[in-house]
This record gives sequence, C-alpha cells and structure tokens, in this order.
Amino acid sequence: MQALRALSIVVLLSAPAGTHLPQRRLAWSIGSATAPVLCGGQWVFQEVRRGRQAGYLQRQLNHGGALRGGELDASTLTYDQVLIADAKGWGLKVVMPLDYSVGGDAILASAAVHDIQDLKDARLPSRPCLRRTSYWAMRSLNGPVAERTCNRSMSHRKRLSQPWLRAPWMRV
Amino acid sequence: MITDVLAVRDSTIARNPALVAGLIRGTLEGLAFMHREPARRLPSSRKTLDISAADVQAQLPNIENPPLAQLSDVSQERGAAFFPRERQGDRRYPAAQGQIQALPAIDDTYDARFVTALQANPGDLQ
Repeated sequence: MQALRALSIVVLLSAPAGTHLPQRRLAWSIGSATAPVLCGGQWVFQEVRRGRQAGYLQRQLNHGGALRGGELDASTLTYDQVLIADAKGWGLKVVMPLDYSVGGDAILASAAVHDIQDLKDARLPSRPCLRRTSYWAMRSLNGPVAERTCNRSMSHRKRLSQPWLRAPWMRV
Repeated sequence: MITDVLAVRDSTIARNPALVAGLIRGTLEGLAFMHREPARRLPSSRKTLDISAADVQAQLPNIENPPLAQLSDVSQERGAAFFPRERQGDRRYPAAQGQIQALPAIDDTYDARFVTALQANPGDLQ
C-alpha cells in the first residue's frame, strides 16, 4: 500500500529523481518506496531503484529522523509517527491526509497451518519493538504477554545486545 | 488501520506556505488525473514503481484517497473521517507502547488551513 500511495504522487513529481541535487540531500526510507521530500528548498520525487542504480543514494535516512534533524522539511508519514513526533516536540504538522489502508503485513506459517485456530498452543516469535500490526495481532492472541514485551524501555542498541529479546517466544 | 499523511515542519510552513498549498493542490490534481486518464498515467506508474502494467491495473483500485470535502475532517470530534472508532488503535498505540507519556490531540497535530482554503476556493481543481 505504500507503493500504491506513491502512485498518487507520480504524476505530479515525475521529474528525474533528484539527479541535480547534492548527494547528501537524498534520502529514502524502507517501507516507503517512493515519497515526496523537500530537500534544500526543492521538492524531490525520490525513487529508490533508479536512485540507487545511478549511485545517488549514499545512505538511508529514516524520514522521521531526517525531519527531526532538519535535513528534510516534509515527508509522508503514518499518523502514529506524527503523534509520537508531536509528543516529543519535533515541530511537525500534518497538512493533508493522503490515504488509509489495512497495511500489507502478513502471518507466514508452514504448510501445516491452515487456519488461525491452528496457532493455538503454538509458539510465535516477535520483535521486542512490535510495530502496529503485529502489536494488535499479538494483543488479540494473547494481550498481556505482548503488552509486557512492548513496554520494555530499552535503547535500540541495548535491545540488539539482548538475544533473548530479539526473538522472544510467545505462547498463544 | 494505517493513516498516511503529509507532514511538514513548522518552520517550513511559516517560511513558505504557498509551497505547501501548491503541493496539496498538485497531489489532488495528480490523483484526479490518474483516475481520469488511466491510459496516460500507466507508463509513468510502471516506470517509477518498476512493476508490470498488470500489477498497476490490479493495484490501482485498492487506492483509497479521501475526497477534498473530507480532508479537513480528521478528528473524532469533527466527524472522524480518518480516525473513526474502529481506527482508534492508531491513536492508542504509541501510548500503549510506552513511547510517549500522553497522547496529543489530533487537532493539535493537524494544520487544516490549507485544505480548508482549498475547499472554500477549489478554483480549477479537477
């Protein structure tokens, strides 16, 4: 759906993908293959594949982080990202809702699983920082366990150093 | 449910509001063009997204963009086009995760003056 959202912008921002911009101003984010960003006072239609092939993309930037740091002036975000940013005083405003969707996340399972009921008594791995979809999925399956996992206040670096947190097994 | 939005830094809005208004208008016109002339937008969609024509045709109907009349209607208090009751999970999620102490009001995060102005004066918007 992220790519679908970008379709709505393709028409207006069909200029070359920032070919005339300084490399340090280019940014893209995983999960949003295409999005408009304002770099150096100029709107750029960022397009990952072509930009990478051309060697323009030197690094990856998280849209939210780049906005916070002032490297980007605007970007597409999900509303929950905006709420977090606002609570932390980043100084962002939503100026236009673009779309809503049910997302593209899915449960991958072996061929032995045919139905959600087959997950009963199974053990499911999940990242410690659950994203929205998996958070609600886990909560619906076994809320208290998922919530305790989500509420752990650890830095990203510390989480990565905790193997047992990288793949906690959760009984359904 | 996931709500995608266009977010702009406060300083950018203050420095160049005309740019923000132009982007919103351009986005709406681009959307209208896509639906009005699917044959003409197909090549650019294929090229940009690097997917087949069949994929473009199959995915386009799944795009759900709000009409101009609903763009300023994002808060629960004002009608909830984007946060109706079944989508309140999006709002509760950050606080539930402990990422923030208190959940901001939607109205405090949304600068609706641009779409409100466009609604009042759509001009030649197609």
